[in-house]
Amino acid sequence: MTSTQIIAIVIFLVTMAAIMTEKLHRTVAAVAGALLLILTGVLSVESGFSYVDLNTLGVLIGMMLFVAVVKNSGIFEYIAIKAAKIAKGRPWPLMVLFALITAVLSAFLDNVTTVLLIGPMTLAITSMLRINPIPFFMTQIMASNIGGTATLIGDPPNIMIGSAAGLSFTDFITNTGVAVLFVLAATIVCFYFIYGRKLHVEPEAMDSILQLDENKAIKDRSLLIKSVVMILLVVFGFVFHSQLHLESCTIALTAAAVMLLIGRQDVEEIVAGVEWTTILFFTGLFIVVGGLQETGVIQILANGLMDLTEGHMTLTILLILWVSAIVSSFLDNIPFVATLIPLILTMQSSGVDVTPLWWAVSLGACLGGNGTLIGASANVVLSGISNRHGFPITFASYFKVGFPLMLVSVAISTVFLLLRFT
Amino acid sequence: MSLSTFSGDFIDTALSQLGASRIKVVSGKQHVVDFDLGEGLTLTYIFTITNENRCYLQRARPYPMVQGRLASTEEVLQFIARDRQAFQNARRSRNYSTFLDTARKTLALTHKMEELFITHNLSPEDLALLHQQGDRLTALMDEIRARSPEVSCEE
Repeated sequence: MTSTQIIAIVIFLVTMAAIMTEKLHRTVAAVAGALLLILTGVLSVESGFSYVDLNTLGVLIGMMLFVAVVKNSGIFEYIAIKAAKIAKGRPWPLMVLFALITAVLSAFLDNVTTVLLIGPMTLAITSMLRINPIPFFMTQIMASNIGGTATLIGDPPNIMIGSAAGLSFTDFITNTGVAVLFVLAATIVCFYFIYGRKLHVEPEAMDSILQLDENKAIKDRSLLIKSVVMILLVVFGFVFHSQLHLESCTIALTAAAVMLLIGRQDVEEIVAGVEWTTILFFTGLFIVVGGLQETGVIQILANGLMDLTEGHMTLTILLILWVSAIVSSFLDNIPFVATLIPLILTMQSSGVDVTPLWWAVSLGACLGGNGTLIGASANVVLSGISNRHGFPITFASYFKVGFPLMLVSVAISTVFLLLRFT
Repeated sequence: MSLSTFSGDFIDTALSQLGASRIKVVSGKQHVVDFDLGEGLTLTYIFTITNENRCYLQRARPYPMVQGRLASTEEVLQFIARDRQAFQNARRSRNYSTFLDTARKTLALTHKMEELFITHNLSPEDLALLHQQGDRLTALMDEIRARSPEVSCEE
């Protein structure tokens, strides 16, 4: 092993340790790691930035801007209140509807954004029903991770995988999307046995839900109409982006630009609302992993993986799926996927058909996030909010429900991948 | 979006159901909420939710009143709901405009006193005189309270 390889590995491991242990803010760790690679001469500025996946950053920025404008219309509150009234305040149908809304939204938006959009309404409605919101939060946490697995843009790992592997929105829908349908159905059935049968609400509390007026949730009717039209166009754009010969980031950024233009919102506010720390984190992370690629460490790891599995595709799929799931249950899946991607690309350049491996990574890394309280950002955020409002979700209480459900979802994914690709 | 926007969104949702006519969010943290109670009466509340989920509330219209730091988002909602109901009740009174004038004069008095203290070197006798007048006003208000029938602020 050369000295530059050792330096790249050490910087990578120290950066990952800082991110995983949260000793440093993850953005600081990633940017510091990237700069260390440049300062030590492992990468030049040009070569470092050549590893930054602009398509991923573009999708993230575009969708953040788009949602920030659309949110001001009140459309998400409108949908939530409408769903609550359709459920007539009955807790189990309400739980299912909110989980489905969360899953669908999460297929197009970042998971944390989704839970922050649906969460306030969940808290408001459960307080009106005078029931504990924890079961609702738990189901929404899991639904957000499951829904995000279904599409190209639903979860950052999928954006990264799609970008690196040249996979389209339709490719994801016909692969992970299909698996997610089965996973979501099975998970909802499990939710019924875990929570649904025990939910009970007084009739007068249910009546209070029917008194809600979804029209009062609309803050800007004109913006609402524009938002609905643009959402439909965005979905169309993503579904057909490969036929249109447009990158997914082009669709996202165009949608953002149009909404900024026609939305007539305070642009300074909207742009300030983008999570720039997340964007910087991704930038730094791409460069840190790029250090491993540049020095040939990824090639060594890829060779090691191929030697371990002796080219046996089924074994490789299962190994990647389950290792991704278990690792993602306890650690941030983004650095893990960022490291796996060049490894799989290296295997591809050796002549291996890696198509099933992309789906294994996607399903494992995204669904694995449901395993523990710290498995995904949405879990941490919504449980933190629940704690602040007096409804604690502990690591143990989450683990008892989340980990078995995660195992069920990955088992379903195993069956799906084996039937589809072997 | 963040934890503080969650709490703010939760409050905004409840306030919109309560009848808020306008809700404006500034920098994701400061919320300006208007209730149009009709006949020219608009209540405006400003609340701020920090990243640490601390809540600060004040009323800006019809006359300013700083409520300060509240313990929770629920307290913000409860205060605004009660205050709005109190003003709705008060608006029905034939003495309402007199009450508004009195409240604004009281506020002006507070500002005048502050300006007096800051820009002048008052003698202890003058300070004691002002203090006595304050005590007399408080005692008068207690007398009036004792002989006036109470009004419920429940909806």
